[in-house]
Parts: sequence; C-alpha cells; structure tokens
Amino acid sequence: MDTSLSQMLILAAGVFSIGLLGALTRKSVIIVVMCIELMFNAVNINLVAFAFYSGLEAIRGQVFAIFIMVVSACEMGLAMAIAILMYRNKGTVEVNKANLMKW
Amino acid sequence: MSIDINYVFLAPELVVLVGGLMVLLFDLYFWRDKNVPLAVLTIATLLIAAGLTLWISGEEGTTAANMLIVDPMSIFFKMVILVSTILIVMLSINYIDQLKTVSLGEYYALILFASAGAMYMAATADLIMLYIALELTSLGSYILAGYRKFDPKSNEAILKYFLLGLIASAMMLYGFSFIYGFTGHTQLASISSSLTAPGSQVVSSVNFAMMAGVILALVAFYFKIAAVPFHQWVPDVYEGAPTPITAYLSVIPKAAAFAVMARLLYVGFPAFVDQWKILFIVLSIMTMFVGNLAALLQTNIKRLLGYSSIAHAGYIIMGFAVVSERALSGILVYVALNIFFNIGAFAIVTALSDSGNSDTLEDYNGLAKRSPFLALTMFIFLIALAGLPPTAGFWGKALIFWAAIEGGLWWLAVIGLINTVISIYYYINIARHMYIVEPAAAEDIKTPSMFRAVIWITVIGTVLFGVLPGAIIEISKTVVKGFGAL
Repeated sequence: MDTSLSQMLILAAGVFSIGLLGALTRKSVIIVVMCIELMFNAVNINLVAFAFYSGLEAIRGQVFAIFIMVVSACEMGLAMAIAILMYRNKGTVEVNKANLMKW
Repeated sequence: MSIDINYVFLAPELVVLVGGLMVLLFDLYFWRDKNVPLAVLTIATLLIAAGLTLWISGEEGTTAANMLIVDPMSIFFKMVILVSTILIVMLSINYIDQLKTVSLGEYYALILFASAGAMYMAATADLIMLYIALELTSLGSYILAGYRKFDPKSNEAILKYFLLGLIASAMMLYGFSFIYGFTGHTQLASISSSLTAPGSQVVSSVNFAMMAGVILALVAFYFKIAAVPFHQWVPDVYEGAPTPITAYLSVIPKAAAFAVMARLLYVGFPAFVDQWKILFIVLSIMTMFVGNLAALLQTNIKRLLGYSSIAHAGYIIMGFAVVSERALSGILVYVALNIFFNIGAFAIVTALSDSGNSDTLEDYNGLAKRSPFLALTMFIFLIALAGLPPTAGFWGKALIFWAAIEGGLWWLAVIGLINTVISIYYYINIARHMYIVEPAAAEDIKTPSMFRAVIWITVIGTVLFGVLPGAIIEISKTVVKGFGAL
C-alpha cells in the first residue's frame, strides 16, 4: 500500500470543502444537491479509510458508509421531487428565485 | 454470535411504524370521507404506543445489539413526542378537510414515520442508529413542510428546509467520521470510555481534531433546535409550512434533538465538558438575542412565533451551559411543558387562518370582540410563552435560571431575564391587537369542535402545570437520577 491514512483524510477534506463551496455558491437546485452529495461521499471516504487503517472494530465504519449511501439515495429522490415541484410552479430551478419570504 | 433483540423494548416504535403502513393501506380502501377514519386510526396507533411506552417505563436495558437504550430519559422523551403528536393529529383533522386534497394517507403516515424517527432519536446509543433516526425524522418533516404542493410559499419552505438540512447532516456525518476514527467506536458508551481511559492519547494528542469532530457532530442538532448560526430556515419554513406542521416542527424534532444532545454530551463526550460549556454559553446568548430582537420586527404571526421559538431554544441551551442535575431537569421540564403552550398558540393560529383570515397581526385586531374564547386562551398562551408565573412557561425557565445562578453563571441568568423582558413586549403587542385595536370585520369567528378540543386540552395543561408544577418537576428529577451521567 502506497497511500497513507493522512493522504486519504486530506482527499476527504478536499472533496468535502469543494462540496460545501459548491452548495453555497451554485444557483441550480440540481447542482447544489450534487455538491451536497460530494460532501456525503467525503464522509464515506473518511469512514472507510479509518476502518481500513485502524482495524479496530473496523466493520462499523464500512457499515456506516453503506447506510449513508442508502439514506442519501432516498434524499436524492426527494431532491428531484422538489426540483420538479419548483419547476412546475415557478418555471425555474434556480435557488435565488425562491425569494417570496425574507426576514 | 447472535444479536440479542428484546422486542418488548422495541414495541412502541414498531407499533408507530406499523400504524403508519396501515394508514397508507387504508388510504386505498376508503373512497370518500376518509379523513376522519384515517385520523382515528393514527390517534389509536399513537395511544397504543403511549400505553406500551408507559408499560415498559419501569425497566432499563438495551436492545438491538446495544443500538437502542431504554431508560427513564428515553421513556420521558418518547411520551413527550407521542402526546404532542396526538395533539397535532387532532389539530390537523379540520385543517386537512379544508385543503380538499386527495393525498390524505401520506399526511398521517408521514407524521407517524417522523414521530417514530424522533422516538428512535430519543433512545439511540449509537452513532449509526442516530443518523438513521435523524434522517427518518428529517425526511418526514421535509415532505410535510412542502405538503401544500401548489402553494409557492410551501414549495419555498420545503426547498430551504431540505437544502439546509442536508448540509447540516453532512457536517454532522463529517464530525461522526472523526469521532469514529479517533476512538474506533460508534457506541456512545465505548466512545466515552476510550476518551477517559487512563493513558488515552485521544484527549491530549489529537485534541484539536477530536474537538472539531464533536463540534461538527452537534451541527445537525443545532439546526433542528434552531440555535443561532443555523436558524435562518426557521421563519421561512414556519411561514410556508401548513400551520399544524409548523406546530409539529416547533415541538417534536426539537424535543428529539434535545434528547440526543443530552445523551451525546453527558454520555458520549463528558471528557470535553470544559470546551462545550463555553460553546453553549456563546450559543445561548446569541440565540436569545437574535430570536427576541428579530421577533420585535415581525408582522406575520407565524414568523413571530418562529423567532420566539428560536429564543426559547436559547433559554433551553443555557441549561447545557450549566452542567448540573438541576439544569438538566430544567431542560426536561421546559421541553415537556412547551408542548402545551406552543401547540396551543399554533392551534389558535390554525383556527383563525382556517376561518378565512390570513396570518398577519392585523387579522388579530379586535379578536376579543369576534371570539372571546380564542382571545382569552391566546392571551394565556402568550403569558406562558413569555414565561410569567401563573403558567407552565414559568417553571422550565425558572429551573434553568436557578441552575445558572447556582452554577456561578449568574450573569447568564441576568441576560436571560433581560431577554424575557424584551419578549414580553412582542407578546403583549399581540394581546394589544386582540383586545384594544378595533376589528375591521365584525362577524363572529366559528371554531370547529376539534380545534376547541385541542385548545381546551392545551389551556388546561398550561394552567394546571403552572399552578401545580410539583408532579412534573419530581418526574424530571427521577429521570435525571436514572440517567446517571452526572
């Protein structure tokens, strides 16, 4: 194995930050949700890396990653439903058009 | 190796989940007038679950491979969740009728699923289970917030709630991954023992990363209880969601999140007590001030109650800043009694918007002339929300402030008192609209019988526990003793 735990953690931190940055700056609901999915995947990298390199109760980390994948699939289903709902009622999926209510 | 599952301990949640599936099935069989049968089925399910919860209330233990825990704390929060869910289903019957929607089954089923998730949250002892339970509650409440599909405001509510909720839970998971990585465990008790074990490297050497993990892990719960840096969704979602669901969001996910925070902090991370004390002091001050000052400017009653619920979260967080038995029992009393006056206030908002009014403060002008019953009960709920003595709102606040003074944080209690005084202004402003300002329309407001029932129950609870708080305070003290973490 050439990679070390800290390399994996840096990769995960990078993916997480890119996801967070995208979620906060992009306009389209679909791309925001894709960026949030990146954040979830960064968590999965973290968990699997910790499980792989520590060996201590390692299976829990991998099981946790599988649970996160399943739940985020459900969340993506809901996200698409919301995007369709918004397109039907507003004709756009841009988050900055959701501005009926302020303050 | 076999996994040991005690089905008796799992029974209340299983009943609620099966009840939700049955509601979905029966939805297909009735063609018209299915609203009342479905609501009755929902309430029956919740009553059975409450009975089972009381039945196992004397016992203690774990089930499902140590993932769920049954102790006085989890029983207490499960009862709070079940009672408030029953009140909210009663509140929904007339409201849903007037929406003339076809998708009734989903509404009641989602309420049951979200409440089951909240019950699991109250009982969880493992990070994996905690995540699943949190998402069960969240997904249910996201959809319920956007239940009025063709109302643009409701769409906006679900969009904002969903995106921000996802980011919050991603941050929480990132924190969980560090906690798992540095301790090697996902069970709270094992995490705590590996942190405090003699010769443990975790607290001293990777202190910073572990602390970041703990802070990130709490983010999703700050989001649920609407503590200040994560409060932006509250006014918009409260305004856009259907009013019974607004009441739901202001009580049930919050109660569950407080249960989780108590368990995470006292069972999982007592090693970091000095650090999270400071965190909660700062959060509490910010939450109280932002909630109360922003509420002063509101003209929509649902937004106003939204900001006031942010402020309430601030008072409750103060209980976590003071680590003592009295503070924890104050939190329990506050969360439990909150269901009466909070749901009561939202019941009146629902009753008024149901009878053709909108939700602005002007619609409350001269309410005393149009419906003396609604005006008087609203006045009682407002006194309770402000936390003044003869009502239930007083006792939770009093216990937490008392604990703060005892714990040497008297200045925090003074800040809390200043905020209470600020909050009296905007609560009394609603009373001024109801009693002094002349109404624009003169006709009487008719209140359907279910609203009356909910308002009577909540007003009796508010006054009764306000005058005789002994029982609930005793129960909370026993629960805190049984929790045994302090």
